[in-house]
Amino acid sequence: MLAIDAIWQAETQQKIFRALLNCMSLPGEIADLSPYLGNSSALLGVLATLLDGTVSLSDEDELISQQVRHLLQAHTASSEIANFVVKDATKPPQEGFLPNLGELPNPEKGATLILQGETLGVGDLPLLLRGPGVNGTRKVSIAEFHPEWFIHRQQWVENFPLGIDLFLVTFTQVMAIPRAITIENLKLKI
Amino acid sequence: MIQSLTDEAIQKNGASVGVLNTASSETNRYNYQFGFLDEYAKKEVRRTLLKAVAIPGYQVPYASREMPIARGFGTGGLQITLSLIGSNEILKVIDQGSDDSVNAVNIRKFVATTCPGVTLTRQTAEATLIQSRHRIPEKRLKFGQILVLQVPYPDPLVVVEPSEEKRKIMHGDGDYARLWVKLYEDMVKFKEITISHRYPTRINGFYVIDPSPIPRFDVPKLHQAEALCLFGAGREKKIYAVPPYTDAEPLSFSDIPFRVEDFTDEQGNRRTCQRCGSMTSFLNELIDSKGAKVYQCSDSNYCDSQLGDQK
Repeated sequence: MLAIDAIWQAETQQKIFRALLNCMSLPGEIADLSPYLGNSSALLGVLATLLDGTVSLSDEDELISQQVRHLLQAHTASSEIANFVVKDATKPPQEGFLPNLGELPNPEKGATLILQGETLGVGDLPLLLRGPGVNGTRKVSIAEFHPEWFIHRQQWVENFPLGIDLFLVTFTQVMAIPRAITIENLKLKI
Repeated sequence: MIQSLTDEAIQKNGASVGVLNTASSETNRYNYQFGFLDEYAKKEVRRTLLKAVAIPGYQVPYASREMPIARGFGTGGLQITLSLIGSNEILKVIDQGSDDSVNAVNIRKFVATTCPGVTLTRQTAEATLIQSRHRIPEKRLKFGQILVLQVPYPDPLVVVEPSEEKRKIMHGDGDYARLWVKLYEDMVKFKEITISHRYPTRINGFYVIDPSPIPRFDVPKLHQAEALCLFGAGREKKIYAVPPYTDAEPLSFSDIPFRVEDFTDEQGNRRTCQRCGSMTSFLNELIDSKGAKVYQCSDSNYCDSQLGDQK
């Protein structure tokens, strides 16, 4: 009998989506997706849940295998115009990298960036979050996400409602930072 | 028959009742998949929901699907509910505060048929997902709950600008000057802002939303709410959201503060519910068999629970 990995099944995708919605509505909240992933990574779980043939994906760092890429159905686009952009965040963003920030009448066209790093919840990069979904302030620490991503993000979201929405993923965890959130980090001076 | 038994069981217990899996499978004779919508439709609604939460108050367009109820009867809310719902969900559906009105009963039956395993409840406190038309429940919503509101007209600017293209530009620029003028004209003509429901409300200091036809009484409940509030307009193909812990400020002038419906009688006393005696709830005005006006809680579950506490 053909075995289908958990992340491609509707019931699993509903559960992953609820975790993503919870993360997006409560920035800084870290969801552990491991009960739903089987042998797959959180990155693939998120992509399998959200992507289909009507959206575009940029994976210039080739974090997704060709076989899985095909199953996602999303068409490939450059990182400047793609709806979903996947990046290896252990390295800094390339020179001149600029995702789609949307348009004032259509800010939803701003890209969703999915940054793959190492650790959420502990680490040497503390972020202080404020804004919708945060009760006052919320501190969350992360590791092996290059700090330059957050300096660039500050520039990308400074003209709200233009901007990008972030998912930070590790192998099993995910956290969201929507564009309306302000991040403070004294080390980075943002 | 089996579905009506399910509703009867809910009525008898007045508490949560699991929808019988056997009932669902027997009534689901056309073998609709879980949640009725196909997975591509759900994915699109889910992507839209994430953007709506990420940009609080912004009306995100989406390809609203045909549903087996007419547009205007809650197709937007229903599509959100069906895209969110899982088999472990505890769902409450209300219409104008009541669990028993036609819209609520039919949507509840539809979900019970197409979502086997979902638990139906009347209790606001125990629901994980609440779909509502025209009311936010009286009982304060808790952290972790999701409220889905059915929306007929999502855009508060429609009263001052007929062109959607222009309205989108106005929203993007945060240009609500003409809406302010409309409110000011109301004050000049009537000495009162005449919007009784759908009161324009600014979310997180930027977008102004139509909070659906909830009474003014419910608008302050959106401010810094612990629950996630999602708004679905199926006919107008828009979804928007107010995340938890988000500012929601009804538009008002500094010298004329926003006020909610007034339930004081001629003697200056706050009217009470004739059933449970509540002095704090939103009241419906009814005419009794003798032709006299009486007042009763709009939220039937709240009223029942107040009565239960008294017993």
